Amino acid sequence: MIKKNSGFTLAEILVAIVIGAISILAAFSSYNYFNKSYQSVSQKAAINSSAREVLAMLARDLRNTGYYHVDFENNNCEALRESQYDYIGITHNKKWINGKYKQSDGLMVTYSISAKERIRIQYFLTQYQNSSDWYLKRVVNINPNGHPRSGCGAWTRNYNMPVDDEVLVPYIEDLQIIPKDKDGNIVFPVCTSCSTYENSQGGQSKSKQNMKKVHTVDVYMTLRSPKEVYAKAKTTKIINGEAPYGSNIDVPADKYYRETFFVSVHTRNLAKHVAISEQTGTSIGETASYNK
Amino acid sequence: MAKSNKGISLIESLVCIVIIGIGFIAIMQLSAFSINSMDRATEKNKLNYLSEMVMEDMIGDPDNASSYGGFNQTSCTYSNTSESNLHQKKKNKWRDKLQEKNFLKIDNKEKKLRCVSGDTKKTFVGNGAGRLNFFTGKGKRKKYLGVVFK
Repeated sequence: MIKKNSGFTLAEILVAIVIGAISILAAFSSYNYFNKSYQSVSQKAAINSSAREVLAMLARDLRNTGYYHVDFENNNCEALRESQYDYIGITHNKKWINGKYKQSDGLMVTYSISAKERIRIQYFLTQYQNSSDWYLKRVVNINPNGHPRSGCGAWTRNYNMPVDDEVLVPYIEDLQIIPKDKDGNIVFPVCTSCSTYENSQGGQSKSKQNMKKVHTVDVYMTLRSPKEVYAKAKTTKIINGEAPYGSNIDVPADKYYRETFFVSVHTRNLAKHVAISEQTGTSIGETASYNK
Repeated sequence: MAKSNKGISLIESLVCIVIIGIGFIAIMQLSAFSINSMDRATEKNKLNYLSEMVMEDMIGDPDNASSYGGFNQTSCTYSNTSESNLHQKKKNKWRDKLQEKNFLKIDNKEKKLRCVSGDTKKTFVGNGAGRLNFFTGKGKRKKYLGVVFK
């Protein structure tokens, strides 16, 4: 019995190895490619979803800012001293909140949610644990101001009670809050915790007058991707808002992806629109200060 | 007993690899497409907030709202002239913000929203309601956001 052993020649094996190597290389590089594109898509999606969440919340709070329940004064047990009442405050140039690049703002707004309760909401940037990353925090307190009125018992049960304290947006690069009046000009200062510069410009007492003039609030929020996205390092310049608020940040070259979100909200409970009576042509609104 | 070992010839296997390679290229394109559509999703998200700005400006000046209509931004480049009227100033602001002028500069190059010729932004005001229309993708995709303010 003759057995015919026809195997591969050396040349054939070499060719086979080369072809095999090429196809393995193709598989490996495509794995790399898909991995990278997954990374970049998921980083962008993370930025998007956290921005969407917080901007919706911020816009809602700003729309409510200064809202005053009709029965609030009669029914609440919080001493209401108009002179101390802060509707909106912007904190900037303060060390503990000014963010990674030392230029960011904080925001405080108040509005009543029922006849007995007024809430104060604070947005500020905070360093996450011991890392160098900054997060956006939202803190809510009920009835934050003052001593209870007479006939209300010693201290109301929910005096300055914290109801919410959460870390919302990771890897925030900058937050700018720019208050503007009905003519589109910047209102300055609007502060509750005023810096030296704000104090030189009128400080708290000027701010109190200014708070009712705030008609529109521009919000700029710049976020960074949690992980590196680009293959090559790029420099970034962040320009959010106008002076004396606003920021101008030069970020050293790195591989992170950044995105700025902008929303402008009409603070309808601060600079109230004055309705004009159609019969008499006279104003029937609360204040005569705002009418176009 | 003669055994005939009929395998696949080299040519056949090469042809096979080429065909698989073509398939791979298509899958690569799919991935590039997904990155692209993620960018578009981001831009649409940002445009939603930017159109909120237009709506809020209309709500904030309801007696004068009729002047907020007729905004028509057809080209991607423009130069704003200084204006004294409030509604004209607001329209200047819209032109700047709707394309994200001066927000971010990456490698000294301004990062703006995608804009191709045919993309248009328009506002309409009538009967106490306002609307902002977007035409993107060379004007092929249409979207609008509206508000009743009176």
